[in-house]
Amino acid sequence: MRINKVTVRNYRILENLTVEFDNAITVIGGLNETGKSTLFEAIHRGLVLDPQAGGQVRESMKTAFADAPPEVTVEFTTGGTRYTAHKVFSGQTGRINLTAPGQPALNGEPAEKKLAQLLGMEELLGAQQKALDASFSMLFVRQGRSLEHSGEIIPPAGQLMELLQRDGSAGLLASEADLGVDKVVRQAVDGHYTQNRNQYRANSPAQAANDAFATAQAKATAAAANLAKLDTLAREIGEADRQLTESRKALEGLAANLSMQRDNLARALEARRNAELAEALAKAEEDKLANFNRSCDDLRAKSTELDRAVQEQAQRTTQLTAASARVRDNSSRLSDAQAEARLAEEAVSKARCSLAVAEAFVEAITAQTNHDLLVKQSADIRKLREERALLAATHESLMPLTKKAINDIRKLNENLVGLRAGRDAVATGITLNSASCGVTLDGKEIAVGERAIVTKEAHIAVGPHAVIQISPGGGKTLSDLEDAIREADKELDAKLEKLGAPNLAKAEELLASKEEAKRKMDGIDSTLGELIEDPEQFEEKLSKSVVALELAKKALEGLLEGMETPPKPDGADAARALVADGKVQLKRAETAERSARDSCEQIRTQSEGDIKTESTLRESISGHKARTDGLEGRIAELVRDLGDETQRQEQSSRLRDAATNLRRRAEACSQTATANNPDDIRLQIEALERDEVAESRRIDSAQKKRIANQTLLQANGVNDPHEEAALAMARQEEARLAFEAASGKASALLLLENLLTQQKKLINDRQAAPLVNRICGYLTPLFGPGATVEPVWDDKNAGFKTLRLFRPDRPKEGALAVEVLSGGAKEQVGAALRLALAELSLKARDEGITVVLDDAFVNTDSDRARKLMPMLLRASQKGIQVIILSCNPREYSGLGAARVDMPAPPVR
Amino acid sequence: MAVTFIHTADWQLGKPYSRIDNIEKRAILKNHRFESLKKIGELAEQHGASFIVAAGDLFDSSQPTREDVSRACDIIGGFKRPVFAIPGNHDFGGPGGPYSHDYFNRERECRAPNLKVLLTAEPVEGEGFVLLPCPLLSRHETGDPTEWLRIPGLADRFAGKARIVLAHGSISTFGTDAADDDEVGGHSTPNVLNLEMLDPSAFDYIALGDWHGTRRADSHPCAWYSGTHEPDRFPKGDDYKSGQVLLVQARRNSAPVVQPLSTGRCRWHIMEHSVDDADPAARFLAAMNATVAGHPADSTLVRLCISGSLSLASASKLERELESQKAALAHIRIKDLTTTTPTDAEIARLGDAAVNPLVAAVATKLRQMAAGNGAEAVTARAAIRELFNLAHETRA
Repeated sequence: MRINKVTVRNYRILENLTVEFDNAITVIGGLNETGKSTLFEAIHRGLVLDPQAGGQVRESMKTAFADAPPEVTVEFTTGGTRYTAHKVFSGQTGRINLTAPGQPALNGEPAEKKLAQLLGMEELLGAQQKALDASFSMLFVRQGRSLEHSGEIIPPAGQLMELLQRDGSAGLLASEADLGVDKVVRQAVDGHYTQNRNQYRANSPAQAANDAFATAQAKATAAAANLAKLDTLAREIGEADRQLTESRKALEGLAANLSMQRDNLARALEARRNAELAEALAKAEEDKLANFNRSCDDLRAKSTELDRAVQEQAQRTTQLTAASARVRDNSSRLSDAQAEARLAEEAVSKARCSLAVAEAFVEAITAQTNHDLLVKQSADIRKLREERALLAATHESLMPLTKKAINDIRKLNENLVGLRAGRDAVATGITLNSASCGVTLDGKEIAVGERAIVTKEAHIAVGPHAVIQISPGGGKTLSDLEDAIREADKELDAKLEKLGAPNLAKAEELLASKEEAKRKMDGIDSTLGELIEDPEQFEEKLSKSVVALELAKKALEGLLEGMETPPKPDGADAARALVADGKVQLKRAETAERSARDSCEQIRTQSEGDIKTESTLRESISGHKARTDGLEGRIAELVRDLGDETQRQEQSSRLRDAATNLRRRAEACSQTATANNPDDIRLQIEALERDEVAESRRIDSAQKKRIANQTLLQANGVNDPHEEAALAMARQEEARLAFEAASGKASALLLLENLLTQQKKLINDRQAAPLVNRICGYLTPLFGPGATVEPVWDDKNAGFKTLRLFRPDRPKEGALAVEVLSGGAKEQVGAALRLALAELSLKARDEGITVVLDDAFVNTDSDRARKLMPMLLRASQKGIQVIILSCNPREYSGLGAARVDMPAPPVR
Repeated sequence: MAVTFIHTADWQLGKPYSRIDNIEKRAILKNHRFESLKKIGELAEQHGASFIVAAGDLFDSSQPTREDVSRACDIIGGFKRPVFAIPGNHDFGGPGGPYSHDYFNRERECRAPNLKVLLTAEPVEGEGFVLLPCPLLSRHETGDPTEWLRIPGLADRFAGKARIVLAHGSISTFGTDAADDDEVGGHSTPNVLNLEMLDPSAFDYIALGDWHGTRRADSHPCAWYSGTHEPDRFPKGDDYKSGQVLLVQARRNSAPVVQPLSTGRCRWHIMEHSVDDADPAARFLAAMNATVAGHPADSTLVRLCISGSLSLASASKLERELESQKAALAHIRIKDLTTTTPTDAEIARLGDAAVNPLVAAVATKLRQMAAGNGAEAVTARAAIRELFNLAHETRA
């Protein structure tokens, strides 16, 4: 179908408008409110709206310009015939008139049916009028609403798809039966699995079977464990029985063995007793022999001892004789030595005497020397003292003459000189009356009230607030000065006189001699102090030296008295040499004396030893005599007891034979006892007894175990555990099979569901391919080669509900949902969808089809708008009649399309 | 002088049949054991048995319910001849066992005064016979219960009388047989009877209990297990017979004359069946009928192993048939080794790509997966069945 011409009258703003359309593309331009959209609506309603429609729809169509009803006349060509459909929308009196050349005109219902048939929508008439309206409006794109804002394809698209499918143009997606199976499969899977299909739903057959299997398994395990316990109990009873049998047998063996060993023990003890008896007898006989032998040995020893004693006695006698001779010899030697000692003693005495004399000489000479020194010192002291007394007198006489006195004189002298100078010059006196600070005259400070004489050019420093009085001549008259000079002379003379000096120079000379005297006195004092620290001690020392000298002289005289040739040493040194020689002589004499005494002592000691030896030997000889007597007595006794040598040998032989016999017997018994050691046997018996106890314990333990196990084993329940175990095992197997069956069924259903989903997608994609390919054809000019869309399928009605756009210029973004696209892209995709649907529809009808675009690209920018042109041209080339309503028709100038401008609205 | 008596054992009254899921069917099977018991009385009457010996395990549990005790006593009381019983491992004679309960003793006195439970190992003399009971006083007797029979000269006291031993337990020549069994029952706890230790000529008949099939014990020339009167397990081999009692004629110093008499109501069948796609349900039904041979379904138990390869449709039909058998039979245990492989036609029907493109695509994919042998292939085959069934349901 292609629309050729439309006439609209009394339709809202349009009073009377006729527009003719090109078969390919017509662009209708016009400003806002010139009635473009009204024309758009009028064409749509002229084709699909019931002319008798009332209510709001009809009210919205009325015009304010005239009282006449709205009328729309659409001229269109389909199947090679040009039809004119004229509709008057006057409510209940609304009418339709359909005419075509060479065909009878149709009115009313037949006309409506025919029109619907021509539009290919006759089955949507009547009750589905609204659906028809909506479906057809798929080809009428209103301002920017090619896709709903939610991204859903507006409902008519789905219905149009159905129509296309029914025509066979888009193929079949799924039959009702398919959908029915799909639905029941999903319901069935819902019954088995949770929503996300990863586990069985609670109470589902498989879950119930699984639970039942777990329960059955637990019961079977418990029952098997119980059986195993019972088997263990029974086996343990068997083991206990075996143990009992073995232990009892072992006990019997042990008892027999014990009895035998006890007999052995009795025999062994007997043998041991016999051995002990035999041993005792042998021992007694051996003792007897030993005693006899000992007595014989004793006899022999005694005899030997006696012989030795006799010999020893003879030796001692010889020794005694020798000792007596030595004693005598010693006495003679001692006398000689003593005489020698006496001579040595005398020599010592002489030497001592000589030494004493020499020492007395030394002493006397030393005392004399000492005394002489002290006497000389005494004379020196006396002389010094006299000298000092003279000096002291001089010093005493000059006592008043002091440095101060000299200074005073010197000052007086100076004063006098000053006075005389003042008198001689024009002298001026100054007096300081008062001052807060000092006044100096030639640098010398003047005290308050003092008067100073300025005799010549002088420098006076005056501080602030000083009041000085200057008076010529120091404030004194010349006579005053003369008086003063006289006074001063007098004073000076008086003082010199007092000092005993005629003038200052003499006084100073005297003072120097006084100080010299003092210095000398101090020197003498110092020398005296050195000579005598303490004068009393010096006197005592002096008097003692006199005494000592006297004593030494007397001692020397005493020693020299009677000496035939007394030594006469010449001086102290000779005396000292004499002393040294005396000491040497004395030492020599003393050594000789000590030697003589030692010799005496030695001889005396030797003599004492010899005397003692002599005495000891005498006593020994006497004692030995008693011992030999005793030995002789004892030997006689033994011989009496033991008999003579022959008798003794006979007796010894007898005793030896007896002992040997008894020893042999004892050894035999001992061997028997050793072979049957009762201790060993006892140990064996103890071991056996221990074994017996252990075996008894084993029996006891086995019996207890047996009783305990039997009690447990015979604890009878209601049901036989073997049967219970068998039943539990059987139930477990049943439950396992049941679970396998249930899970198998669930798995089968799940597989079905998965396959249905998978295959549905495959079919859908395959079936949607013609549409998708066509949409891509329209999108390529806009988004470039590779631009494609992916249908999003609605599982419920097996149709698709929206599209996803894949843009080659943004590969990373993948397929984009419509809702995230910009407004421009959204309306472009929508337009492509509609053009593709129209193209498919065109193919089905093999004739033209009209798509009306009413400002469909309000959100499209100028660049994209330019790219829209190839899309629209493509539609046109495919045989689609495109009608574009735009307030900006110049944008479409590139299409080279027919153009109609809407007339300006009439002004009322 | 010969004595004629009936030897029975292992009644296991009150057996709960725990492995059978359906409570009602358990009750039916439990009931069969009581009903079969009545048959023993009838046979005793019919064959002129002087008395009946029951060699242990009269009750399945050591604490039977009062109802079971009363019902048992009621039936035994109707036997009109003495019934000598020893306790077995299930109904052991010591404390905690059923015979120590006042209720039992009152009911026995009142309803079954002919029932003598022999709780002590001492001879019981009757006319022409002496009974030598070897009762189990606890479930696990570690000793040999027949040991007391080895006392020298014991048997000499009963000159001329048939010496009949009653014992319960396994014999050393063959072991217990329950551990790997499909159904619980008929096995022995290890109460071992050393019959070879007994003087072969000293005893004329040894009535044994514990083994649930009828068999002669080869460790003694005149020892027999009567087996249970009512089968309670699938047979272990061709020679396994149960659901019988033994009619015995015993005489001193003579070999006993032993005749098995049938008493059981239930039939336990082991069945193996192989199927192919040629009408498998009908052929299975025919095979089942041949096995059951007209025996009432409520006393028929089957252990079925079924194998073969089936189409989806055949598998569904066979499944329905098996469900029917499950409902009808007292019990059926199925080991299903069949594999389901959809035919091309089935696959085509399942999804015509032009009509149902989705299901068709899924079916094709599943078929590829099912071709293998691994776990995935098993799941895929199951998924094909599910898809087939669901598509079928959806269309319906």
